[in-house]
Amino acid sequence: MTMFLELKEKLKAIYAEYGTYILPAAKFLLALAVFLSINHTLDYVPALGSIFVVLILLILSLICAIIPLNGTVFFAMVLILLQCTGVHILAAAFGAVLFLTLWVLYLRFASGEALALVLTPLAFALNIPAAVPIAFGLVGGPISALSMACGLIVYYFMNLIQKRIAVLAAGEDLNMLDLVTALAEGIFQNEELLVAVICCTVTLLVVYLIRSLEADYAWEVSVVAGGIAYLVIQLAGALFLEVPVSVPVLVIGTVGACLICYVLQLFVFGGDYSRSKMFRFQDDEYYYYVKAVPKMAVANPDRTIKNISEEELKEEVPEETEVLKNYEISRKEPEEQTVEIPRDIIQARGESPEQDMEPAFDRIVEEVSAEDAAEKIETEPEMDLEMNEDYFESVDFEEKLTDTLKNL
Amino acid sequence: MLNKERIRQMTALARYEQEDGKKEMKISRYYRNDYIGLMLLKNFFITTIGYFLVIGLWALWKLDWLMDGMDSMNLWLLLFLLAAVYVGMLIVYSAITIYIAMKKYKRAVKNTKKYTQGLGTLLKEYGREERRQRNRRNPE
Repeated sequence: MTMFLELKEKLKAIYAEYGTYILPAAKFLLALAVFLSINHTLDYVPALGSIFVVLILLILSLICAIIPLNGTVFFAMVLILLQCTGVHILAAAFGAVLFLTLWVLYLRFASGEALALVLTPLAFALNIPAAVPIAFGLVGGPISALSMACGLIVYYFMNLIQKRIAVLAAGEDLNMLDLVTALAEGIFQNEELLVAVICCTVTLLVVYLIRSLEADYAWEVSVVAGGIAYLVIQLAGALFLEVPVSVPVLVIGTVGACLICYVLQLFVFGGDYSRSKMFRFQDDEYYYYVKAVPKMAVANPDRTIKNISEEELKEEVPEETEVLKNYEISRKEPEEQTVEIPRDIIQARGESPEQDMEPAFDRIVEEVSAEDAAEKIETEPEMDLEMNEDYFESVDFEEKLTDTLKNL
Repeated sequence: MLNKERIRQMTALARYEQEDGKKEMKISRYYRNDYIGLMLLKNFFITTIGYFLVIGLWALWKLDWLMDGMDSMNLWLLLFLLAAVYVGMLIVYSAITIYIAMKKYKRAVKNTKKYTQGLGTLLKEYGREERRQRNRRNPE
């Protein structure tokens, strides 16, 4: 759990820094995966499998990286139709009508839901079909079910071309009417498609409804419930509508999808229910019942560890002594500027000179300087008068006058 | 010196201009009813095409049934049913279009208003700075 949370924090930091490049790169990879998956499923036009075309697909994926996701949908559909022309032109025409109908009926209203449409066939191709309804139940809403249904129709159309129409078209006595009827029946009378649509829609709604509840661990429970719902409906479809299902593949795929979605919900939600709190308060109009679920968070694991060995410690000692010396110097500076205190003053105050002088020293300096200053202020005018009197008494004014007259 | 607040404002405005602003400014130039009317007209054509596509696909699916029962079939009833489906489809899609168009128009007007207010604030900020600079040059 902590590992995922740390990873989440790291990914958030990376996305914050390189988001400008990550989003187009992800779109490029998605588009490339979709195009290669289509080419892998429907490999009927040899020219579309050549290295030159793979290069074109790479360039197309690069274009898809900078345009909205609907561009990927459009190019994917064009690629499907091109591959269908390798089977029969009628198959391609039917596909074009089908895709146009899907656009007219639904996709024109939900241009923002293209991701569900793109990911659904991809998840089915990877044998983790439950991942899409559970994931969109967690991050999306009920409206995603319609996009998902469109994705399912596209996937089953490709399946139909691969498994039935290609065989039918390769036959010698090909009847156009049979081909068209087979195409139409393959979409409108396909129990497998019907079960898949019901299954995915119910799973998405179950996940969405449970994770919207305010109950503890609703998100985790919704993932498990979605997985169980998917399994049960698929098995029911296999029992009652005789839809061919490989149980081990279904179980393993659903468990894998649940694990992926469990990690996804940690990234999307990540609430710590063990510390959740309920509050009840009121104002003039309402009673409020508030449940506060703190977010799970870990400290940023980016910490620098410094190893301190004994040698480093020895090296550090001189620095400390140097600091202490500096401290002493700074302490001594004012001492040098002040007057030296006679030992008798200290003795007169009852303090022996052998005692630790440090605390007494400061106090005495302060006191002495204060006393001196006060004495100075008080005695200065008196001293001036005394000096003047002495000076007048000592001078022989008569002699000085005689000398001056002589000079004259 | 760089004015951080102004850079923030200008970034938000430029982002809106380049992203949703292009579409929304166009939408906000219409009166609400005109915009909804235009969307309904567009919807009428697209739904009609969609209807014929759906009927075409249904016809392909039921091709055998249609070929076999063409003679004995009540054509008026079939036409009535087809017309009813068409009207029903048109009503449903028109309702969805009105709902979406109203929502889009409301959002466009709100965002464009915010954008215009932002431009006004920016203009005021520039005026204030110009006055400050003029006062610095001529303190009297």
